[in-house]
Amino acid sequence: MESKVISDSKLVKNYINGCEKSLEPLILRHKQRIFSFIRSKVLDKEVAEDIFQDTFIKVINTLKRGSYNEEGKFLPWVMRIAHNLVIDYFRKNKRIPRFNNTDEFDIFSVISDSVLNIEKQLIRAQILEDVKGLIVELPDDQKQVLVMRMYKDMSFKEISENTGVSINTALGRMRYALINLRKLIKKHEINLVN
Amino acid sequence: MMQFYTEKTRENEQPNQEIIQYLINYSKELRIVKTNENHCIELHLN
Repeated sequence: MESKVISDSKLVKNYINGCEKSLEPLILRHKQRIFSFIRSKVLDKEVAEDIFQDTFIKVINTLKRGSYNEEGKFLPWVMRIAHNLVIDYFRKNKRIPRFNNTDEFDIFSVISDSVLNIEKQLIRAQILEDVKGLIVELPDDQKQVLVMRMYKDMSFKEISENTGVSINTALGRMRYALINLRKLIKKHEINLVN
Repeated sequence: MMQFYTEKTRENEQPNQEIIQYLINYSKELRIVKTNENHCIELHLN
């Protein structure tokens, strides 16, 4: 004898009309697919179970309110709810900084301020001053290119036009300027770290 | 040895049976009453 499977659509209709027994087969029929989908996204069984539960609570509420739109099919609709709840979960987790509370954990690595504090501002100003002092010691042709490039933000083409040398020569002078700056930093034992 | 891949399938994994039962009970206890102004009131009957 052929057993007749009741369609999702029929079960949903019965459930909306007050047949509580129609809910269980709907959940049992689709639980594995929905749960696997959630689990594949959140990678945590307990979180997946929470989201699975919330998904069906939304399903139940919507069906009981009579807000379910019969246009689509039941499973894709439930999958969409699950998908939205997974997104909500990740959004919520992103907003709340999570950290392991260990001795090695530095709270300032999470809440550090991008604006420089007074101490850092002073150090930065000192570094800029030191660099200026070193640039003075460079040969004139290298100094000229470096100042144009770094302080006047000119392109090598513009530097070439202004100094009357080829772009390659300007590039070469810049390269030697940086090599010589490194040598000067080493020679004067200057620490240029903020 | 380091594992370079994740588990291939999780087909055997299912939500806890208690969750299914919770959902069935939740549904049985939930009554939604529509008011005259087309608002809904949720009643959880425990």
